Amino acid sequence: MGSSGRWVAGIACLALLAPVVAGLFPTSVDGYRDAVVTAARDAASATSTAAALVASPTLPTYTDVVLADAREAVGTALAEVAELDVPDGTARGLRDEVLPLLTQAVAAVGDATAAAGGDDLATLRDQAPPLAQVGGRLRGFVEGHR
Amino acid sequence: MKRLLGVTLGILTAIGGFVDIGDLVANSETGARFGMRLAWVVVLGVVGICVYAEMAGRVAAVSGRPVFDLVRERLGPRVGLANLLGSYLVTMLTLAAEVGGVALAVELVTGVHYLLWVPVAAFVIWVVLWRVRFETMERVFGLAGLALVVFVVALVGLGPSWGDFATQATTLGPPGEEDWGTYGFFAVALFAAAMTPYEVFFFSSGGVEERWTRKDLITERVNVFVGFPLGGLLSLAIMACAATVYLPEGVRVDTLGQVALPVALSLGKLGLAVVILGFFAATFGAALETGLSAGYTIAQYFGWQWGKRVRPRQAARFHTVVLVGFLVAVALLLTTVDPIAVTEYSLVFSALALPLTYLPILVVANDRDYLGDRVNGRAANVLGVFYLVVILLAALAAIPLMLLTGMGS
Repeated sequence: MGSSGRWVAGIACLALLAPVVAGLFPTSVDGYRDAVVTAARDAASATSTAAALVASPTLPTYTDVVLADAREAVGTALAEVAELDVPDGTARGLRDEVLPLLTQAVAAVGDATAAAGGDDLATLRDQAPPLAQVGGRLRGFVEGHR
Repeated sequence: MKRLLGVTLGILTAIGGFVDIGDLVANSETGARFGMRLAWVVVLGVVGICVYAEMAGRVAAVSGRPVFDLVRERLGPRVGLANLLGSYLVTMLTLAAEVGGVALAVELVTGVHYLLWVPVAAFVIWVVLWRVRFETMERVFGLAGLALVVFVVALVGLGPSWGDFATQATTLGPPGEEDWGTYGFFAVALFAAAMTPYEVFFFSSGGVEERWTRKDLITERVNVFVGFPLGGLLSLAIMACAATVYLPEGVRVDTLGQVALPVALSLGKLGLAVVILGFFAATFGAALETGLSAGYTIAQYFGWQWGKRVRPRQAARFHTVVLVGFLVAVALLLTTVDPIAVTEYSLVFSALALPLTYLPILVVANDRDYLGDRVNGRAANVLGVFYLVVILLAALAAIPLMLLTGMGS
């Protein structure tokens, strides 16, 4: 390998290692905020999608699949925030603000999933307002902390 | 009727190229985040693929040989190998994603997890490739893929603000909540999706399978200038549906179920059934295309007997390559990797492979030894060189944008 080849290989190794090394450092407040806002945004997307879904006439299996995707998305968002190291008081405030919203999102999507399992379409439709409400509050959190 | 069916190769190629599993989600995600601000990329990509697919189809019709075969002969085995490696890896990633896409479409109808459908889908696709005639295959899946026209109907039913669309489409740059990095990343991904290498290889090899000659140049051009713009129109309709439903709510799209929701909101259960049929046909068709393209490129590079116009026994190595491709795709998917993420990566790597694919086509299309008086005219060369510059810029920007934006997240 020539000297230019060694340079290219070295730069490629650094580029590959950079994310690994970055992951070893303690979480900064900005990093924490980014992660929390991303989780809240994903949960907001899932709950708003579920709200639009349950308010409309769709095929039962389709409803089940989309709600399962939404449940996975809000569950992942909640777990990600719960697993993050909290670097300081500002981050603690963010966590205390977002965790109740994410918990409400998990509950709302779970209730909608349970309602979809029954045959009563009216009960399923009734899940739309709480889903839209928690979706809106999560979106407000994202806009306030972006 | 025969003439109508004559354009199904172009329709199948374009539906595979423009509305496969990755494009379905990428177009919807782009509409949800940027509105119609990146519609110009789709238009740029449609013109680009028309320019190069026309060259590749003309090469096949006039020389009777697919473009990849001539690239190796004209530019030598080294350039051919670089071309082969770049396009084959992208094609394999795309094949895996398409098999996953078929499974995801079936999941929407059955409610059974897509991973259970992956081996079944791969087996059925392979049996179709093995048993069904090329023309039948392209007609069934090309025409069934047209079910995605339901997005155009749904868009009208949603009653969007056309004025807002016009404003967004004529605005260069991201909306307030996005930055230039993600805007650039999605622009590169959409452009690479439109210009995916396997499209030209499949199209020119398909022309040879259909035994195109000089007399079929009009058919070839109708295929290009009807099929690819139609694919582009479907892309724009998907983007516009998502822009109408999701952009105001700030929703991000990352599942196939979300892509279908605007149609369900607009047209109800019937529309939903049609759009899921369209997903199935488009991803199945794209899986056929990519499966065959994987076999075409390898067999043509090594000079093996290839294609569906010869008996499988006569093209055993070609069919073995296709079969191995499906086995690798299933193995990749059963690691539980997200099929949609696989296609997103394949689009980035596709951008890297674009120069290796399109420069040789431009060279061959100017060679009088192969094309005689049917070499490129001035307009084709001006457009070809312009697109090579765009392709080069996209290739250079792809990886830095991917790293800077975290895959556009």
